[in-house]
Amino acid sequence: MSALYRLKGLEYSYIWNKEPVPVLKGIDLELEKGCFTCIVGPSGTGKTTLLNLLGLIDTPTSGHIEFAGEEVTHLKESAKEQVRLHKVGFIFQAFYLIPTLTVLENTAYFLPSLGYTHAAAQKTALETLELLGLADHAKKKPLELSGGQRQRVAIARAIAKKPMVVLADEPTANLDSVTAEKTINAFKELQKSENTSFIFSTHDSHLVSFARSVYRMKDGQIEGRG
Amino acid sequence: MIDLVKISWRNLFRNPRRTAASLCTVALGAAGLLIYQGFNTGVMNQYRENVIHGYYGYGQVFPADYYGKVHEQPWKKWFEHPDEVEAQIRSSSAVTQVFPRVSFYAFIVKGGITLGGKGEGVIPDRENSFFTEMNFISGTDLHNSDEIILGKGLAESVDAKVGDTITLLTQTVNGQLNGADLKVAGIFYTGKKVIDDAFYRVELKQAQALLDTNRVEMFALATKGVEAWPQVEHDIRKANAQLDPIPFEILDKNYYQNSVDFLNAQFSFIRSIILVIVAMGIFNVISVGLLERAGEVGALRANGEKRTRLFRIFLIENSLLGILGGFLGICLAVLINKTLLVKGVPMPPAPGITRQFWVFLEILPSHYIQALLLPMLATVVASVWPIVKLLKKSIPELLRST
Repeated sequence: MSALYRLKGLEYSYIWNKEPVPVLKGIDLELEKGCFTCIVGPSGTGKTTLLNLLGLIDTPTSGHIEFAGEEVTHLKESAKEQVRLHKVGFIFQAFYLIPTLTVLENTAYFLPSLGYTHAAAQKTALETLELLGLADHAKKKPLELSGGQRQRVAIARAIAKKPMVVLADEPTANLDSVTAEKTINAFKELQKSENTSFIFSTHDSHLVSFARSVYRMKDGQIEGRG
Repeated sequence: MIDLVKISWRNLFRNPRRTAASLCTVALGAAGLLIYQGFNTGVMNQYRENVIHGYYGYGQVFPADYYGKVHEQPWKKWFEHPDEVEAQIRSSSAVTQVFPRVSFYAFIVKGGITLGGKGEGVIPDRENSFFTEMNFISGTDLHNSDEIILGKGLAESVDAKVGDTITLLTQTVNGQLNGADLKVAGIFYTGKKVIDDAFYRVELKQAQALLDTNRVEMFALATKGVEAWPQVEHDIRKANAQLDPIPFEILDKNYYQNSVDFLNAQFSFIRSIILVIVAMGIFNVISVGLLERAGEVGALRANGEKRTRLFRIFLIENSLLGILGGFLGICLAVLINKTLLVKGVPMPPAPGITRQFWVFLEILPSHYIQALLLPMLATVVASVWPIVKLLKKSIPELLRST
C-alpha cells in the first residue's frame, strides 16, 4: 500500500514565558492509505498536536510533512484551505455543528464550495445520512438529537465531501458504549465502502481494537507501533 | 450568496435573547435618530413659517443691482412703473400674492421727544391676509392711511400708546421736508432689538406721499410654497431681466439660514453620539457572541472553510441585524409620533416669537433611509473588529477557546 502521510523529523514547540516548550520531538512516520490508524498515549503526549499537523491546521516548528505524495509543510494558508476542503475531514469530540441549520444542511455545508449544485449537495448529504442511519433526522436541528446522533452528523459533514482522510480527535470520548459502538461501525463501513483513511487520537481501547495500525506516543515521541 | 444570507439569517436566532438585546440597541438608536431629526425639521419648518409669514414672504423682488448695496439716493433705483413690474411678477403661475413696499427714514415726534427710525410703507389689506405672524402686544395692524404701527422699543422711547397721535417727519426724494400726523394703531414686538427699537409701518400711499414719489422699492411675494421658488425666480428673470428675485433664506441669512446651519451642525454632532453609543453597545454583544462560536469556527476552518466566506457570513449577519434593528426603530418612532407626540412637543418662545408654540415631528423620506442605513452601518463597523480578531486566530487556538 502507498503512503498517505510521510513525516520526517517532525518537531513542534510552543512558546511559554519566552521559552520554547517542545511538544513533538522528531517524529518519523509513514501512514498507509485506506487504513484505520490509532494514535494512543496518555494526555499531554502530543496526540492532538500531531493530528493538527496531519490536518494542516497547524505548522511544525521543523521537519517535513508529505501528504498524498505532496510536500505540504509550508503551503500558504489559502492552499492549505484547499487541501483541507478537498482531502481532509475533521471530527472533534465536541461535534461543533451549526445549531441553526438542520442535520441535512449541516451535512451539506461544504458541498457548494466543492462545486456541487444545491440539488446535488442535498442528494449527496442525504445519501451520507442514510449511510449513518440518520436520514429520518434530516430535518431536525442538532439540539433535537442525542450526543451520539450529533457525533454521527459531525461525521456525516466530514465525510460527505468524500475526503481522502478523516482525522478524529477522541471521537468516542463523549459517547456511551452503545453509541460508541454504532459510531465505530459507521467508521468501518465508510472505510470499506469509500476506502477512506481514518486516523484517530483516542484512549478508547475498543476503538483501538479495530485499528490496523496503532502508534503509542510518550513525551512527544512515537514510542512504538502495535 | 443566497446560501450565505440564509445561514446568516438563521444565525440571528441562535441566541434569541442576545439578538433581542442587539436589536433593542439598534432600534433605540434608529428611533432616537428619527425622532430627533423629525423634531429638528419640525422646529426649522415652524421657524421658517414664522420668518416667511412674519416679514419676508417667500422672497422679495428688487431692482437689479440694488439689494445688499448702499446707495446715496436709493429711490432713483426704485421701480418707476410698479404696476408693470407687478404684472411681470404675477406672470409666474407660482406667485399667489404680491406686496409692494418702500422703506424710508424719518423722525418720530411726540410731545417733546424726537427719535429717528426706519420704516416701511405697505398695503395693509394685502399684507394682513398673508403676514399673520406679526406679534402685536397692543392694538392691531394698519387699516387706514392715517395710521402707523410702531416697534415696542420705539413706542416706549416716544411714550406712544395705541390711539396716540404722533408726527412723522421725513425728507421727500427732492430733498424737501415733509410730515404727517398719524394715529398709533398697534405696537408690535419681533424679539429683534434692532427692529423693535426703531421700526415703524405706514400705508404705502402715505409713505409715497411723504416721499413725494410713486415709485416702489421692492415687492415681497407669496408663492405656492418654498419648493416653488426656483420656478418663481426663473419666471421673473425671464419676464424681466432687470428684476432681482431673492429668496427668504438669503434675506434672513443671519437668523434663518444660520439657525438652519446651527441646528444641522448640532444634529450631526448628536447623530454621531447616537451612532457611537449604538456601535459601543453592540460591540460587546457581538464580541461575546462571536467568542462563543470560536470552536464552531475552528471546526469549520479545519474542514476547509475559507476565512473570507466566514467573514462574509458574519458581516451579512450583522448587516441583517442592523437593518432589522433600524426597521424596528422606525416602527417605534412612528408609533411614538402617532401616540405620545400626536399633539406635538411644547416649546418655549423661539427667537422673534413671543408665544409658546408646538413642534410636530416632520419625518421626511430621506430621514427614514438614514434611520435605516446609519445604525446598520454602525452595527457593521462595530462588528468588523471582533470578526477580524476571531478569524485571525489560528485553528488550534479557536478549538481551544471553547
